Amino acid sequence: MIKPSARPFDQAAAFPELLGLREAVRAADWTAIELFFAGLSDVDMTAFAVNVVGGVEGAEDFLAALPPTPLARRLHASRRIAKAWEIRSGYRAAHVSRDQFAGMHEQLRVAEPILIKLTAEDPSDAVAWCLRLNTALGLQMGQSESRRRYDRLARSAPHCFTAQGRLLQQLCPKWGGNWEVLHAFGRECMDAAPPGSLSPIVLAEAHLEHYFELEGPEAGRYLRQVSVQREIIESAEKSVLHPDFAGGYHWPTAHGVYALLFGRMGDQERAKVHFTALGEALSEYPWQSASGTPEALFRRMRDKALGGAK
Amino acid sequence: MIKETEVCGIRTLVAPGNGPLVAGLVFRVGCADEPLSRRGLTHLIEHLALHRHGLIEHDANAATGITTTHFYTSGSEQAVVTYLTSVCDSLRDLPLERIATEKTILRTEQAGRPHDNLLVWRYGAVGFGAAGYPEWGLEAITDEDVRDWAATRFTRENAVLWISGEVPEGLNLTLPSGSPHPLPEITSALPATPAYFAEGGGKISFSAVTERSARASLFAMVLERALFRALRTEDGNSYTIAAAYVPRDGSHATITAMADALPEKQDAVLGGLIDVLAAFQAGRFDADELETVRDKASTSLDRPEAARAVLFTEAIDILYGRTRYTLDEFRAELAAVTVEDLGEVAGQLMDTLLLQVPRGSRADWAGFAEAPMFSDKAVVGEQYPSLQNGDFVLVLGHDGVSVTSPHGVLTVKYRECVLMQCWPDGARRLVGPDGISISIEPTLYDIPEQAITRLDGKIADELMVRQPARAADRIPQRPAPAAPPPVMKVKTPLKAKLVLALVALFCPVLALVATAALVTSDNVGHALLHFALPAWGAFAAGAAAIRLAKGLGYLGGTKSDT
Repeated sequence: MIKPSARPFDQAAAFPELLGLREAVRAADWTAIELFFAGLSDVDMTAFAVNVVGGVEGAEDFLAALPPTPLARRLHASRRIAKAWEIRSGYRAAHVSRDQFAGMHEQLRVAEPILIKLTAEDPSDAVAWCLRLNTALGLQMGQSESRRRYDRLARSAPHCFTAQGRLLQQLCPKWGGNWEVLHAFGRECMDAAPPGSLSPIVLAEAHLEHYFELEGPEAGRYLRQVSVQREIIESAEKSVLHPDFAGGYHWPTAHGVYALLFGRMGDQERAKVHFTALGEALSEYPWQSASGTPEALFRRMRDKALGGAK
Repeated sequence: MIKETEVCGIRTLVAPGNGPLVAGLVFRVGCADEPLSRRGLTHLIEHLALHRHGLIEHDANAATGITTTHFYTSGSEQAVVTYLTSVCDSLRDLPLERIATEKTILRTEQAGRPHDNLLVWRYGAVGFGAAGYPEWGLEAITDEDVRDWAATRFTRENAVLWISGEVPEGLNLTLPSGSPHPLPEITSALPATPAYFAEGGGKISFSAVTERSARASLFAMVLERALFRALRTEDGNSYTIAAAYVPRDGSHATITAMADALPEKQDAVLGGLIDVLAAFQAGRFDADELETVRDKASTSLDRPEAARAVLFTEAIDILYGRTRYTLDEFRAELAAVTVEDLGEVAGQLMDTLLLQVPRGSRADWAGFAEAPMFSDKAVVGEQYPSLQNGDFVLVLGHDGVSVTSPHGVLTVKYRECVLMQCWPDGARRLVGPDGISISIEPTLYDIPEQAITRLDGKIADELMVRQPARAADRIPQRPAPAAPPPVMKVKTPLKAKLVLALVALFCPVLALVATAALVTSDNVGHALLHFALPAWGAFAAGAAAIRLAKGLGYLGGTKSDT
């Protein structure tokens, strides 16, 4: 049985067509799903929509039974990956039970061979590579393998924000990476990115991840560093604030990152721009990563930036 | 044109040469024919056979392979005749007095050669699997073994001579008569393939068994190029990449491949290698790539040394009982290979693949089965827990030996055992036909000498290989017994001790006197208030003093250092 999503956030909420896509998955309406994806050309938008499908609980049986087109296989793998993380739960490794890990790995071991085959048949299948960055993370394949997967993807999709964001996670110390490499990667994404694209945001996300990892006054001090602030402003100007910025399905995440960063920096003027752009659009990232309930945090910071007036 | 003839009762292949005379004598015996307890026997005989020839001035040598032993030479007619005659004369009458010396030389030669894990994990410890082991039988090989092996394996009927050039004048080779020997039986230690195992590090390697054909040999060349391009040129994670195609028997070939990796890049090399294999599975072959390797293969057939290589291969094929191919037939086969053919070989490769990953890595995520590391069940018998790790228990049973652990059990049955190494310090190592081995170290298990003697009684004499004494630093250290919980020792001055003891003794006495006073008193309230309560209080204080004294450790008692 296909159940409604139990996710705390509705990443599709800001996009009626994604709500429609989700309904199509729940209704097992393959034609509607195929038509939806046929109309998408952008890698990051496709990856986002594939994720939305993955988030539909119980959809795995329907997806597995479809004729094995590349799209159906991608969606099935995406569902297995989402299910793996549902089993694992969002806690840090120390709080995840052995059974949960076993259940998670079982799902990922279903997804990975599907994806190996997809990327073997078509090495330019960027969405499959994005999903393989998730399996690499969950199956703890290590830094070098994740980097290899990203490099393989980047050969055909050099500015894929989804993949960059996933490699960024792998490069965090909590997943076995280190800050130096993480920031260097953020810089690399930003420098190579076309103006108005999503990729410069990776640099800001690197700072945000670093900030999340610090505690107490140290965290505040981190964001007060001029060099850090300068990079964040530069990346905002090259992405969300650039006249060519579109953002696709990622725009709530993009503005969210800057709204949170500038708000925490105490730069309410800058934060205001992003909160205004956001309106009610609350994305999973970055709000779920902060401590406290994400909605409350979002509203509190928004009220502060907008001066209480809406 | 290769001519088939006979020289002194030995099947012979002769082809016109275009350089100096080259000849080889190849026997159908190799290390896969040896039982593990005599592993090294063929190689020892090869060494003994060359001894009398002394320092070889011309180009000549010998090689012991998995299924064949080859003596070969090139030079003047005289040199070739002398060498081959000397080899055959020696094989009939080996210098047995040299055995001890040659064993030492072989041990030195062995030290530089790692054993072949892929053979052992695929075939176990018998047949082709035994070939993967070091020469563990050397210590046990007797004069009798050498004589028997030479007399039954190095015979006319079990040999083929090949000559590139003319048969030299006066070639008179005398070998004993015997019978041709079939190849060892194909065994398997792998219930499912593709499979993987984790051992060692610094490289990723694999083996697979495919058909013997021109298309499979071209596939191996395409494989090497694809691995080189992906792992070295594009990913920059490997330096050395090699793939090889080697005939295993008349109908099958073994394809092996290896890519080295720094520890921090191992995961990426493994991932990259699996993706190369997956691309082949998906039929992604470049037609240009096929043409490149086909050209390379065809060109190499035109080289002068190719004719000799073909002669040698055909000589072996006679020993394998395989129908001979002419060079022209092989060329035609090469020319006919298509991209689809490569795809079919890729399918055979994946169906039989055995992958070695570095210790700590896995390949189950890519759909590889874990090669079995454990036995199905343990034997029942006397139990000896490991002194090192109480989770490990050695079991000496009626019909076998087991080690049980939380991860699984290892069992070697006495009647299946293929080798038991015995050290003078009492250590034993038993190896089963599936490659499972159990080490018994008297320093790591509290195992009485009689138990070792009983164990020795269960194993057939010919399977026991007595090893020289080990250097002290090669014997595992008996683990130190678990340290007792630390005891807090506080030095108490003598004076304090006396005071405490007095208080402790005095207080109960006072309490008793006071109680007596209470019982005999008329004014209970008064007595209670002024005598009994303070006195019992004093008793309590005394008790506390005793406890304190005990706690400080000088009234004797519960805590000890031992």
